[in-house]
This record gives sequence, C-alpha cells and structure tokens, in this order.
Amino acid sequence: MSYELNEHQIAQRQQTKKYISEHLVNSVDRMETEGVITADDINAVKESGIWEMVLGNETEWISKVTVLIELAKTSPSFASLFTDLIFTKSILANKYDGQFYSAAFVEEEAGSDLSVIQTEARKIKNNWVLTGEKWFVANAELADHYMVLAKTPDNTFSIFRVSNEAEGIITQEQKKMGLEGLKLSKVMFNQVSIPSSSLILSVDRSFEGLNYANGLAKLSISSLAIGIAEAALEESLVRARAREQFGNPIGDFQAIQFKIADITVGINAANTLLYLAAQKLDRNEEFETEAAMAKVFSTEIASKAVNHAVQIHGSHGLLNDSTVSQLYRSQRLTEIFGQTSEMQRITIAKYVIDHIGVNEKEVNYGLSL
Amino acid sequence: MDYRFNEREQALIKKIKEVCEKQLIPIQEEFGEQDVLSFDMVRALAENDFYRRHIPVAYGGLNEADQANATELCIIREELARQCPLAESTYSVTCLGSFPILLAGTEEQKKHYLGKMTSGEEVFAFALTEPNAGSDAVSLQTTAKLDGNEWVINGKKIFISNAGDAGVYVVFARTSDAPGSKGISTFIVEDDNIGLEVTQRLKMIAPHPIGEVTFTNCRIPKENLLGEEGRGFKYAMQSLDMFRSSVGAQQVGFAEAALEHAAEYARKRHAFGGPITQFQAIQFKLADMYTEIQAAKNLVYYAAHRKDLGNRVTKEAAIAKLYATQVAQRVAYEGQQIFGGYGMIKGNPLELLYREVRPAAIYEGSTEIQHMVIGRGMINGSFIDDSVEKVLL
Ligand SMILES: Cc1cc2nc3c(=O)[nH]c(=O)nc-3n(C[C@H](O)[C@H](O)[C@H](O)COP(=O)(O)OP(=O)(O)OC[C@H]3O[C@@H](n4cnc5c(N)ncnc54)[C@H](O)[C@@H]3O)c2cc1C
Ligand SMILES: Cc1cc2nc3c(=O)[nH]c(=O)nc-3n(C[C@H](O)[C@H](O)[C@H](O)COP(=O)(O)OP(=O)(O)OC[C@H]3O[C@@H](n4cnc5c(N)ncnc54)[C@H](O)[C@@H]3O)c2cc1C
Repeated sequence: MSYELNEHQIAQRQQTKKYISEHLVNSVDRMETEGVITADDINAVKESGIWEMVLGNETEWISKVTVLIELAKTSPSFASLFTDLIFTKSILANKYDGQFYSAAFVEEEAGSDLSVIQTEARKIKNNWVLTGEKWFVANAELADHYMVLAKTPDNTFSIFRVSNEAEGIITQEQKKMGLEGLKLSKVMFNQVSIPSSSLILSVDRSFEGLNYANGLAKLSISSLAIGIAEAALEESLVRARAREQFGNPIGDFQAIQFKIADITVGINAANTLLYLAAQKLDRNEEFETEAAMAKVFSTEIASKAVNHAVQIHGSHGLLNDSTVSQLYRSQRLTEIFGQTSEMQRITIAKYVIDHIGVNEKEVNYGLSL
Repeated sequence: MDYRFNEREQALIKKIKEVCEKQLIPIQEEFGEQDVLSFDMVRALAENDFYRRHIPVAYGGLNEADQANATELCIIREELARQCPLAESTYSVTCLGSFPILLAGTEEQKKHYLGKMTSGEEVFAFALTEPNAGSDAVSLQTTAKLDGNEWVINGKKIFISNAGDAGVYVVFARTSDAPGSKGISTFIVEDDNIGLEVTQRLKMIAPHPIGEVTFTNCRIPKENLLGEEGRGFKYAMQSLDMFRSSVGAQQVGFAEAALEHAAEYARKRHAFGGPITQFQAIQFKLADMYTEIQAAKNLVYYAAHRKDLGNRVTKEAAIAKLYATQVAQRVAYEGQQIFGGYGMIKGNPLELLYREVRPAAIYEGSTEIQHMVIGRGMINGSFIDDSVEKVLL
C-alpha cells in the first residue's frame, strides 16, 4: 500500500525489511513492553545503513517516509526516535555531525505557544549561560546533546547545542502512556555554561524560522501514524480470520468487515497525503501545508484504526501487553507531539484562507500529484 | 415526566459525595493502580451500606420494595465512577456476581450468601465468558455433571472480574446436551473448593482485578445449583438486563469526570495571550462533551426509570449502554486532547480515564451486540410497543 516507488526506492524498502527481520523484530518486546531502547540499538541501526538513509542528505523523502512507515509497523517507539533526530538535524543544517540530539523546546507553561518560554541564555564573557526548565524532552537518556530553545537578550529566541555532560543539568523522567521505548523527561538547566559557538540558530517571535524543521517532523509523525495503522490492520485481519463466534469467523460479519474497509481506505488516503508532501519536498517546493494535512489526517486515521483493532479483538485487545492495546496507547501521542491536531488545522486553514482563490495560479492547490 | 431525582435519590447522591470524600477517595489514593481488589474498599462500601441498598430487608438489605431499584443502581455507579472509580468497580462486580442469587436462589441461599454480600464478608464473581465463548456466550463449553450428591464441573472461564479475590463464583455451565441456551445451568462455587483454580491473573489496559478460572473435576454439593436446571442462561441475561443501563451510568460518570477536569484545566491553561478557552476549537469541544453527556445521561435514566416501572427494557438499556460508552470514549479523548502533552503523563486524570473508558464497549454485550439487539428489535417489530404511555403516566 504505497505510492508507486521506483526501483531504487523499492530496494531501500527491501533493505529496511531486511534490517527489521534480522534485528528489530528481536527487540520489539523489549522496546514496546519493557520500554527499553539502548545505545546498542542505535549502533545497530547505524550499522544497517538505515540511520543514514533516514538522516542522510542523499536519500529522497519518498524513501525516508517509506522506511519510517516500515519501522513504525514493527516498533512504533523505535520509529518515533527519528522524529527528534530529523527535526534537530534540520536545524543544525551543515553543523550536523551524526550525533544524537534531543530537542528541548517545550516548558511547563509553553507548548503550542513557544513565545512565552522562560528559559534564558545570558552572555557572560565568551560563554552563554542557560537557565530554565524544559518539559517532555524525548530521548534525554540516549542523546549526546540537547538542542535548547531559550530567550536571548535582544528579545529574540535562539537555539543552543548543549552537551548532556555539561554541568548543571538534571533530568527527571516523566512517565507517560504509550510509546514505551520513547522516554520523556523534565530537564533542568541550572546556570549551564556553554561556549559561544553553541548558538546554532536565532528566530523571531513568529518562529517561522522553524517551519521547515517542523514540517519534516510532521512527515515523520505522519509516517509513524501510518505504520501504527498498518500494524493495527494486520493484527485485525489475523484476528478476524481466526476468531469464530456464532459459528462463523467474525470477519464474516459486516460489522467487522466495514471496520476493516474503513481502516484500509484511511491508510490509503493518508499515504496519498504523506507521499504528496514528500514529493513536494523532494522537488524543493513548499510542503508545510501538505505536511500539516498529512499529519493531522494520518494521526486521526490511526486513531480510528487502533480503536477498531481493539474492538475486533474483544477483551483480548484490552490485555495490557497485547500488540493492539500497545498500539492503542501509542497512537494517542501522535496527535500531540510535532504540534497538536488543532495547530495543524490552524496552519492549513491559514494557508487556504490566505491563498486559495486569491491567487489564480493556486486554484488547483492540492491536486498537484 | 419528571426529570428530577426524588428526595430519596437526592439524599443518596449527597451521601455518596460525603462518603467518597471522607473514606473512599483516600482509600483509592493510597491503593493506586493495582490489578487486585482492595479489601479496604470492600469494607468501606459495606460499612456505608452500599451493598445493602438493593437487597430486600429479609436478607440483610435496606430495600423495602420487592424489586431491585435500577435508578439507584445507576446513581451509585455514576457517582462512584465520577468520584472514585476504584469504589465503582469494587461495588458493581460484586453486585452483578451476586445478582443471580437474588434472582433465583432459595431462601436459604439468599439468607446465607446475600447476608455475606451486604456485610462485605464475601466478594462475588460472575463467571460466564470462556476462551471460545465471548459475545456468543450460549456456546459455552464448561460442563457440570451430577455424580451422586455432587455436581462435577470442568472447563475454563476467562476475563472474570474479581478472579482470585472473590470468595464466591456464580458459574454458568452446561448440564445437558439440550440445544442452545436450554442446557445451561447456574452454580454457586466457593473459592476454596478443590478443583477451582485461578490459572491466570490478567493485566488489562486499565487497572482491574480480573483473571482466568479453571475448573478441573471441581465437586460442589448438589444444593449449589442455583434456581432451576436448564434456566441458567435466562438468569445470566436477566442479570445483565438489570445491569446494562448501569454500565451506561458508569460511563456517564467517567465522562463527567473527564469533562470536569478538562474544563477546569482549559480555564487555567494559557496560550497565545489568554486562556485556551478563548479558542473556538476548545469551546466547541467542551460544548460537544457537555451536550453528549446530557444526552447519554437522559438515555440511561430513562432506561432505568422504565425498568423501575416494571417494563421490559431490552431496547432502552441497549440504547443507553451503546450511546453512553461511545460518548465516554469521545469525551475522554477530547478531554485528553485539551490537556495537550500533560494528558499523556502518568498521574494526569485524563491519562487514566482514556484507558478506563475503553473496556465497557466490549463487556456486557459489545457495541456490535447492542447494535444487533436494537436493530433486530426495530425490524421485527418487538420494539414498537405501546408501553410509552406507561412512562408518561
Ligand atoms: C510523545 C511526545 C514527545 C514529545 N517530544 C518533545 C520533544 O522532544 N521536545 C519538546 O520540546 N517537546 C516535546 N513534546 C511536547 C509537545 O511538543 C507539546 O506537548 C505540544 O506541542 C503541545 O503543547 P502543550 O502540551 O503545552 O499543550 P498546549 O499548547 O497547552 O495546548 C493545550 C490544548 O490547547 C490547544 N491549543 C493551543 N493553542 C491553540 C490555538 N491557538 N487554537 C486552538 N487550540 C489551541 C492545543 O491543541 C491543546 O489541545 C513531546 C510531547 C509528546 C506527547
Ligand atoms: C474489564 C472486563 C471485565 C470483564 N468481566 C467479566 C466478568 O466478570 N464475567 C464474565 O463472564 N465476563 C467478563 N468479561 C468478558 C466480556 O464480557 C467478553 O469479553 C465480551 O463478552 C466479549 O467477548 P470476546 O472478548 O470473546 O470478544 P468476541 O466475542 O470474540 O468479539 C470480538 C469482536 O467481534 C464482534 N462480534 C462478535 N460477534 C459478532 C456478530 N455476530 N456480529 C458482529 N460483530 C460481532 C464483537 O463485537 C467484537 O468486536 C470482562 C471483560 C472485560 C474487558
């Protein structure tokens, strides 16, 4: 179920499947049930070439999202690690050095609206000194560096690279529902002194300077959601065929068939939006609105898919460690990070209201496949 | 039609609130999320007469009418679910588990078991579902064979609430090869019976004491047959009929809790220069949540009220359960969305509610089964009845 891939892209998907069947499948339980992802897992994915495929400059986005969907289908937690990596790598641009970065942007009182963050960076001699508390920082344990958003004196916002070994950093896990292998933490920066070369990027209050990186994160979460939905579909098909009630496989009942039909339609439609966005990106066209559409649609389709999958499984689908109940919980997060569904709708509406029918050239907007 | 709760009912609501605050919520807070029963909770519920309310005076209860009161059952489940979910499940599982005894027990059985139930001395389980008989409960395979003065039970029950904690299991088993439901009978099996084993405790998406019970040549006295042989499935269905609207009430309670938390948070949470209630996206969510809860609540109490007037409520209870479970799921989902990232964090009430509302769309007749009941009844004409007048009286 995907956009027509060319031979090269198909080969990349094959390579991903090979890595999954040889490595990732053996770790799924540990990642999704125990919630443990280690540096060894990162090394393994680097060695397989998948890391480079997702993060390197050589690969097309069509391939990247294809790889991410495959990863997510097997281990949503593991696939979700790449969201932060893609986001931070984009911000680092040519400063990217292949290491593991973790974004520390959001705070207790500043999520969708980052303009009210309290974390501050002050220049003291040749150093920046960071003070503040970040919430919901993903992968703090695995990261080599934090990428921290802070207010800078001239009323702008800047992003700093902070080694996780810098003095004055305290982390505290924030236990959550779903995506067990993706850990969230509170990270406190207490007068953390970093060299002046740590400043990576400055942006103004509109945060438009982050739109491109945010767009990439959306593609990544859209892929994650589609992978989750596909996994939910696969599990549902197995159950619908095998489980008998009232003398028939439950897949014989229209109540079950229609759920399966709806999930299938949803996955295909979501894929179309995602591949449209990826294609625009590969052509160096503006893709942010498409990315927002792909994200909100895929995550909401995934919500339907996991809900149906649980229902099709009956009480077995509610067992805490069953695959579908894990998918049910993990999916929920996709509607929050990479900006909430409400923020996606704001982005889409703003673009459409400002442009469609205003500028004649864009009347065909959205049909550009 | 009077939509208000009467004085007795209002007093009950007030009392539940007081008991929750003073006794039940502290027990829940101390207990946390565990998949076993809280016996402190059982004692507190018993002490405050919860288990007594629907049981006739003759058997240690407070119910002076000779019929269980569906409206009260709904009030208790709604209020407990809203304020103290641990109390709700501790209350309702034992009520359902012991209900067949109230329906079909001999004087002696009722005196003995219901006495222990009202005092909180014994906890009950309702053992119907099997690995191969879920929605299609009639196809259950557990057997009970008479051998002299004893019944010998063999088979496996799964997803049995209170398994491992219950002192008394009400078990549905096949006593003859009669087709369909006719060969099914009901038995009272005490937990210390040799041959009854809790073979698995299960961990579900939300905290709940539940497990698998296996019967291997489990011998029980002949007198432990409940009611008449071959009528067991009827007792199961009559019990579920009594409780179905109250599952809806529990779901309304969960939804109310979700809305209360979300609305309070939305008023306090600021983004883009003011509370997030400034955005229509949030206002409309809250409005839909509120509207749907009102609708669900009306369906639930309508079904309960009709039941209390002596009507058959197959249709009304199915509609109430179907709709209330859907509403609770939507409300918990939107409530969690309003909390943003915080809604996903352990300790946030919505994180738990999102998981807690999910099972009810599967147990005691899944959503699909309710659709079947309603659809079938509509089409074959059995739901087009004249009893509407009774309610309007
Ligand atoms: C799994 C996961 C991983 C994460 N990873 C990271 C990470 O690595 N680094 C990091 O910094 N953060 C991370 N986050 C945090 C995440 O980015 C924020 O939770 C998210 O942006 C929402 O912010 P908030 O939680 O403060 O919600 P709020 O912004 O407070 O939003 C509350 C509610 O109000 C709505 N709302 C807000 N503004 C508007 C508006 N203008 N119009 C309509 N509705 C509005 C929101 O949609 C939401 O429903 C992660 C979160 C999760 C769940
Ligand atoms: C928290 C919890 C507590 C429980 N407590 C108890 C208890 O105390 N005692 C007890 O006996 N049981 C209990 N159960 C079990 C519960 O009642 C059963 O799981 C339920 O009847 C569904 O059966 P199943 O899980 O086998 O699903 P299945 O019957 O296998 O159903 C799977 C799916 O197929 C659908 N389906 C089935 N037949 C049809 C059809 N003809 N047409 C369309 N769709 C159909 C179902 O709706 C469902 O979506 C509990 C379950 C839970 C989750």
